[in-house]
Amino acid sequence: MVFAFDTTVISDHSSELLDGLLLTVEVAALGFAIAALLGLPLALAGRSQSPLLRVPATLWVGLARGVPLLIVIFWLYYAAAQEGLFSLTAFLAGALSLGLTGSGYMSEIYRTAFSAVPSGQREGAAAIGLSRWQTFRLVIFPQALRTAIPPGMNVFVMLLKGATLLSVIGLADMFYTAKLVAVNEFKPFELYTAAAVLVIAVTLVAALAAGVAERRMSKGVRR
Amino acid sequence: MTTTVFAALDFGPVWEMRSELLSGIGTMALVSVVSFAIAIVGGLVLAGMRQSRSLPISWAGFVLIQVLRGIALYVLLLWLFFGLAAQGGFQFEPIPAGIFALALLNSAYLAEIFRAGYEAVPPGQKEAALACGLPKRTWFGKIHLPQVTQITLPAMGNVFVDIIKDTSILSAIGVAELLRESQRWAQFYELPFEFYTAAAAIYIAIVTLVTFGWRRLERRFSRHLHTAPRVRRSRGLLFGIGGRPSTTTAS
Repeated sequence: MVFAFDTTVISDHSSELLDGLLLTVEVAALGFAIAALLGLPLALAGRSQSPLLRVPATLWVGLARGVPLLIVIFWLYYAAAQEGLFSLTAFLAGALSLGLTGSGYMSEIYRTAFSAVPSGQREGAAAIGLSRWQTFRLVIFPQALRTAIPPGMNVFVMLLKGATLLSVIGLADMFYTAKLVAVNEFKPFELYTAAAVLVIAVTLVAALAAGVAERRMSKGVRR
Repeated sequence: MTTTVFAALDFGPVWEMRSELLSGIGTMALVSVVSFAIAIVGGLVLAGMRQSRSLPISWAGFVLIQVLRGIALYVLLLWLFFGLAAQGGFQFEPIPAGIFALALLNSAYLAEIFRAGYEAVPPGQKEAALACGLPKRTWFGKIHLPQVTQITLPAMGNVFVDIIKDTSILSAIGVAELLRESQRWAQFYELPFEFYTAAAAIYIAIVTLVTFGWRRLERRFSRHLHTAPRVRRSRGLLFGIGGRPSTTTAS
């Protein structure tokens, strides 16, 4: 194996590659926002007494966590368009599939976080006369959010990794660019290595941040 | 409008292609079981490295685990398949390359799970066993290992399910698993809705089956306990997925 590593081909195309990387981060961030927003009502519906809310929520979580992301992507991008239901751009289809998949995981995280709030908190809030909504907004939710942040960051890392898949539906991300340039310049090794190193650097930073957050949380809340 | 939309659905070709889809399921099963088995061995090695008394080895284990956890499967596959192979002027076989990538990345997750399980057994168990005069080997085999297994099994099940789902990504390098087969016939018949919906349903069915099977396994490994297993689960038996408050394999 000859390791002649040509760095000029990377520096020549660095701005296109970085644009692609930015696109991956953007689509992952939008997907995460959708997941975090959808996950909350899902978690609340999953805790509900009424089966009318609980059963659909459980089904949703099961679907979101059981269907591979790549199938969701294909389904939203190709299948829905074929049936004339809706047709999305690659970016929107990507963000939506990440959001739907992530919502199942986020809902589980919120659910665990809610049940981690000691029941004394709820009783205390009731004793000082807070309404149910006030109890949720001022007492339960802020405490649950603290517990939910580190595992939530892990979901973001998962979605960031998932976002790398989106070149399969033609999102002009870093690998898409790398592929185009690699074909033109006959330098696949350089380009794929550069793309891989860059995207791994981003996920590593996010994963390390999640790890730090997790360790901080496990130290326990200051009393 | 919607009525005409759904009247056009035609699942006939999906049924006609059932033997192709089945062979895709077979490939998926083979790839996921083999990579899971290799990942368990890899995870034990990595966890052992981290527990090592030699500082360089323990650090190497730590760095390896962190780096592997940051790598997306698709990125690794593309790099192996289109970058490295082009440079070396050779071609990878899709299935071994896919198994290698899946096993490598998941061994890091399993290593963390094994380490956490190893440390979760209360130290009093060891002290009591040695105080009773049990030899260290007996303590490890009869006291420690069963408890570690019982603690780590649920998280291992999550990794297995993730591997099964992630085999779909191997379609990108041409492994003829379920998604690749669905893609092929979706394009051939121009029926993406039918084939992708069928594929999604098959994945859900398999994941549900595996989850239930795995729970049986967990129960078997905790059958010596008089109390309920330590694994906490609540409602959500539907699909077998909703009930586990797991965040371990979220990344």
